[in-house]
Amino acid sequence: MWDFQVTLIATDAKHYRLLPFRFMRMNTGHDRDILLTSDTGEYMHVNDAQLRALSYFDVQASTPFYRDLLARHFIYEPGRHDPFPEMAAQYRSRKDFLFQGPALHLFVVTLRCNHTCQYCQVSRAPLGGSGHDLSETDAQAAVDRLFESNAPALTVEFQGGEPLLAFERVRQIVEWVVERNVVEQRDIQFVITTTLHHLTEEILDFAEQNRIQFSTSLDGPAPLHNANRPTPLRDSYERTLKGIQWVRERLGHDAVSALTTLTSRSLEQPEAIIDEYVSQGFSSISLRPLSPYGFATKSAHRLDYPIERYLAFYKKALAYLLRINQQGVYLSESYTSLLLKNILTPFSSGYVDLRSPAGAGTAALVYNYDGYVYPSDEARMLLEMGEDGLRLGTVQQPLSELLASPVMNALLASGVAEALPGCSDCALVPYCGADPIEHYARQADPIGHRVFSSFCKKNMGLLKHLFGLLCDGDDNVQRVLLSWLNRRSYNDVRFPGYRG
Amino acid sequence: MAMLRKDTHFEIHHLNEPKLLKVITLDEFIEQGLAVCAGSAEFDDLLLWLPNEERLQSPHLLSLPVGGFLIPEPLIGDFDSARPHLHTPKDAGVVQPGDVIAITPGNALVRVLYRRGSDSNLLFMTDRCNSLCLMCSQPPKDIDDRWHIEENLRLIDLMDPGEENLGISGGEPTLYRDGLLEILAKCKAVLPQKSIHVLSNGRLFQDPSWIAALSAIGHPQLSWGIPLYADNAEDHDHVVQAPGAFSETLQGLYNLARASQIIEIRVVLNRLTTPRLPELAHYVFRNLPFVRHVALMGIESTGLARKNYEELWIDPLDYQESLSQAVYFLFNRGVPVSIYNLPLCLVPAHLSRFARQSISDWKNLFIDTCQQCAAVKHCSGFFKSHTDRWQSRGVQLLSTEAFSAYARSAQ
Repeated sequence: MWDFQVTLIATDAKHYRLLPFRFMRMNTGHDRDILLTSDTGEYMHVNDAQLRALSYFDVQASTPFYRDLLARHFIYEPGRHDPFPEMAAQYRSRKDFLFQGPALHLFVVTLRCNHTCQYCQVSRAPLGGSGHDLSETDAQAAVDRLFESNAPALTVEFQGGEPLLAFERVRQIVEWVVERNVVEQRDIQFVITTTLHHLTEEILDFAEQNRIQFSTSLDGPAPLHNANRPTPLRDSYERTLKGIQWVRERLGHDAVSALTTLTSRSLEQPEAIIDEYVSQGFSSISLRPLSPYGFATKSAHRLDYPIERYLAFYKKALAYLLRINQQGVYLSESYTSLLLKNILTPFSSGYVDLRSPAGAGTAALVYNYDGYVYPSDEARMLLEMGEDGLRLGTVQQPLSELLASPVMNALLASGVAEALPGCSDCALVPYCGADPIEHYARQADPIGHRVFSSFCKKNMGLLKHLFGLLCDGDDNVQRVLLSWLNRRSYNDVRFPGYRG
Repeated sequence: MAMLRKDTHFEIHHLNEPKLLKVITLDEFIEQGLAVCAGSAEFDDLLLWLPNEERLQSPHLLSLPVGGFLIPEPLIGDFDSARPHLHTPKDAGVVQPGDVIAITPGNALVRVLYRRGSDSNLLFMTDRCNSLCLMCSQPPKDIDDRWHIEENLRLIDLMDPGEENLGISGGEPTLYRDGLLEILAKCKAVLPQKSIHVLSNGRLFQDPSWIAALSAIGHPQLSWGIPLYADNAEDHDHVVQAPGAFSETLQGLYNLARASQIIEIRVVLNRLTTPRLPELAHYVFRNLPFVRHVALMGIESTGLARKNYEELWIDPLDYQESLSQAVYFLFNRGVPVSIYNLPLCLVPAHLSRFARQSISDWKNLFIDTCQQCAAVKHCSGFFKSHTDRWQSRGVQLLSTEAFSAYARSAQ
């Protein structure tokens, strides 16, 4: 009884209380090796003694460390300033995407394609195949679904297969959307994801009229690209490059962007891939690992690679990018830019794969050629692998019904990272996301086990590496990373400023 | 840019009551009449600008039905009118056509309340304040000065209608809540082309009823300059000498954001605020992401600042590193940031692109050193209260070569 009272008195004598925070040892080898993160995304690098002092209520008031802890909402002083309004504002900034319905709408207008890529991300049907195109009735219904979302800014992305093989459907959909938008007044961006092999003057005229952007695939220099993307004449690279040039001549330099698919053989040549992007004049490159979808798992024994190999590749590639950016080339890595936004700002990138709650269905919807609606591109690829469990319903059902489907319930139940086993106590969770579909695909369980999760390994690996650079990188490395944050030139970011 | 005072003395005759008067030339009177004023006005509100020569040539002008006459020079000859008239200004430059002046019987002082074409015009709301900042340039007075509200409402009517910046300040303008709201609504109705910038400590906005009131006004060009002196309550509350002020101001800022107001954060640079300036920049960016502009401001060495010299004075050369860290932290994250009130010789070249000519025309001073300086036309200069005690050891004239390094750095 006596002891109990003593304890109570001691508790009340603490001059501060803890707010929710997480911590992680970063294994950087230097003194401030522990990363502290608050629930709302503030962070500090501290040493062991500081962490111990913090948790034993031993931090001396009025020291700079104490003030840092207060100002970043790791601690508060009962009866004095109440930090909850600030923390609420930080939560709101970071989860701002929740106030909007799906903004990214993918229309799979056809599954036909002229390529026979072994790893194909989206799977495909032969060029002359039938029964693989989106019907007019379903396309019309999909446009209705698009406008049922409350998002003020909508992206309409045409996917395939090769969508230009079904250009008449693309044209129809764009015209319907433009017509509806006279009344709807949304901010609409059209994107066609294409090899650019089937471009015509007519298509470019139409794209110019409707300010359509092109997104293409460029895997690296010709030998690599052509090996990754077989066509009967082995001319995929040449035709894509010709397409890029043509789009730029007609619609401007920035009307086309490119994505990279990294196969096992890509991982051996990070610099050659980056050099290709530099010589083609791109300002961003997307170095994403192969997804376990489409045909990829069937040929996994030849094409897939452990995520550790990807991480080693990424670090090499990033080091090279940092070097050439300092020499006056502007080329950012897009996933890095998204992670930097999550780390360095109070906002979230809003990127579909880095959201918690998960972005599948809440941020993006896929209208498949067969008239079914899926919560993400990956979910519909599972279909081609023989998994039809992830469809939300048919395109003829209203959006409210699709979003209330059992699949959405299951995805959201396993899509809040802060509540997932292995994520809930991870110091990096404020900057990460949840991907129940990837876990379902790889582990047959939308929650999945982090130890076996390549999603987890990838994001942990990248985030730790970036935290390391932000803490230890020299001023010029900071400048490059900051230039990517707001897409400014390296010379404009003359000094890194306070590192936070 | 020479400093132009906001008051001077005239000889004033036949004035029976306090008046606000709009100074207007004969040409304007003929061409525009009362339309020269933005709001409702009568002929009695006009003060005809009447040099001796015009009057002597056309004596019948004195029969015009205006509120009075202003002779912008010593009076020549008789002045044959029983209406109020002013002549023989002590400083002939102070009052000009278009200005609005205030005069009172028995007092030779003429105050310029509105100066045509200036971006430093101010609606002064009150001398009262609920804080007592250590560096306050205008120490508050505990008086009932509600009369400012009526004067300002009248002043709005008499201003030019065109595009200019207009400030609202005090003391703490929100202390007269209804008066301030009425003035803001009237600014929107009568001066829709003028952008309004209000200086407030933001504490009273913790009352959420301001949200609906400000939203209802919906002024499209209204912004608020709110000071924040630290990233923690203890330091901020000490600077403003008001316990609880930090919490109140933060809640106030969030309420302003809820009312979709445009917000600027202002930090006065001194010995207390500069050591954690980078941390303060971090705090603002993380917690107040809706802030549109951060102004980091050199201290004005007047009022309470003089009394608290020991606690406040730091040579700007000694906080350059801290200032640079804070400025680039914000700039690199896309937050517009400016340095106010620091002469260019005290700003390192790489920060000169952020330095603004921020000091109001009526209290802007250039010292002897400035006369030969190559940067003088681009420099903030000093406050008129500037003294040797507050002068940095770094004040120097910049040669043409030195200044061109600044110009290169600004590109």
